[in-house]
Amino acid sequence: MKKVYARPAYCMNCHLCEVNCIVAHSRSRDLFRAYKRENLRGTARVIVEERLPLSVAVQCRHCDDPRCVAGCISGAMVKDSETGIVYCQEDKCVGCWTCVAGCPYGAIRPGEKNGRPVPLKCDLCREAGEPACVAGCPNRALVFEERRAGA
Amino acid sequence: MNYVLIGNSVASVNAVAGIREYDREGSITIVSAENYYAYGRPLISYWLEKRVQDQDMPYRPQEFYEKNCVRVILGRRAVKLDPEARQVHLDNGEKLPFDRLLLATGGRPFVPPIAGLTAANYFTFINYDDVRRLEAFAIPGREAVILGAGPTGLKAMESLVQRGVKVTLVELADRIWAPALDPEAGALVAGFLQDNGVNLYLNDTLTSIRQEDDGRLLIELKSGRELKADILVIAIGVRPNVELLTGLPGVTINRGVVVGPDLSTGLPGVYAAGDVVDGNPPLLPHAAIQGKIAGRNMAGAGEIYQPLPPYNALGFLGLHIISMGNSAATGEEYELLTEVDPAALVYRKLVLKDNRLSGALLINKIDRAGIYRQLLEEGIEVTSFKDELLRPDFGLLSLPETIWQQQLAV
Repeated sequence: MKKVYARPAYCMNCHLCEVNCIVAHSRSRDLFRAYKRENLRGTARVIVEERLPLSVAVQCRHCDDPRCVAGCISGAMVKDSETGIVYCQEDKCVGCWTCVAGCPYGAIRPGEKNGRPVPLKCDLCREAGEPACVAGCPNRALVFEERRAGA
Repeated sequence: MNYVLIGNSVASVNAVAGIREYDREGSITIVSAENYYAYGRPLISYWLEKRVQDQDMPYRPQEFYEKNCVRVILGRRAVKLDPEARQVHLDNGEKLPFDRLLLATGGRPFVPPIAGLTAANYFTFINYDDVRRLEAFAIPGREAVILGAGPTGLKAMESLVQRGVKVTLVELADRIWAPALDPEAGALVAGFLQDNGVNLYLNDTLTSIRQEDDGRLLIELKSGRELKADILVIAIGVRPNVELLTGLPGVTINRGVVVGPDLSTGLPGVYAAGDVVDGNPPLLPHAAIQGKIAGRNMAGAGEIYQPLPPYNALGFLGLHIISMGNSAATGEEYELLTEVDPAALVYRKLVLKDNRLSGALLINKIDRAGIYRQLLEEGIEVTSFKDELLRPDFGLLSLPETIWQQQLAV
């Protein structure tokens, strides 16, 4: 399957992927409104890790046998059998955070929206087409491509 | 190929998925003693709180069963396994032939002998029917006593508190959830519970129960203390449901049924997964993973199940705990890395043995916990990045370059 791959050598630690992720997962799809009205600061589903000068964007790897899906107590977290995308049906999530304990990449963070739990994890912008983090990366430090046959 | 799955929880549903990866044709039948399609058992406390409604209980939608051509028999108990004839007998006399059988019968609550205890004066807290029965009793102002301050007792406590019930926890050990919490963490959680109006009696247990004339329960504790309550919940653990296999030649039963590395039981074509398996921690991720692998193997895959250390996430009344491996360890043979902030109810402890992660306990600061779990399960030596482990910005870049590069390339 096509996944987002980070190319740390090209990452300039601008965190635009986080900003674009937040906007893509906002109700308004507008940067100003996402931050100032919807209070979505800090809710990115991609994490730019820094050990300067090194920086790299970390996000869900959409595992073949995802621990987050296996551990989900409500059945909210699923892997789409056609696309391979691992995503959370957020209205089913109860916020137990077993997914947080399961993810080997630490790519799921506990979050909250309107008093309801939201696991902050990459869904490859499955309703859009190209992930927003990739589309907005100014230096192609993130690419969306197929690297393994059948994966 | 004819697959029969006994039990209708997370292990069975994952077994269906595992089977269908290899066999699109074979017929699959699930036998459930309960009258419900599979639901995650930990959801029952959320249901009791009304944070989850009836329609959100199913673990998979109805289409899952249709798409995978699964026949589900609800409300029927498997009463006998005939390994010679390769048949399972149900409680209505029906006989189901099988080529491959999965035993995913789970466990049942252990109820200790206590003077005066009758089926009518206590609740268990393990399935949907338990909370449906409890719902009518759990009304504001009532008082409940819960025996057992482990994960089940704590979730029962949370849902009862949220319904306005005054809760007292009675625990035989010297602290809450002793297998996972060390004394310091236990004290922190105990303080949190008391601040939330929950009574806690440690080093104590129930010795007798009597129904008073006013209908309330008079509960006597070993310490001599007497408690009055409207509701009694027993939550001191589960015992594997191994009855179907008991006495059959070729099967070994200890606490649960002993399985081989491929999750087979020793009877031809018969596999087991989940809480019924001997030595398996009774935790949902483990049941799901075993179910998937057992399903694949029933369809001919030949996959090995590597026993996983326990890991668990437990939240109640806004407090979140993630524990893994040897999380309660304190002894001298371990190196402990800790971060404690009692005011914020934050407690983070990593247990190292021979420079490898042996356990972790994280309270109220659980970000990136899964990286610790991975280090623990893989047995990765942490000497070169030990100082990084509890840093606030701990992450993949804390690990050796070869490891994080490999992980991001997946």
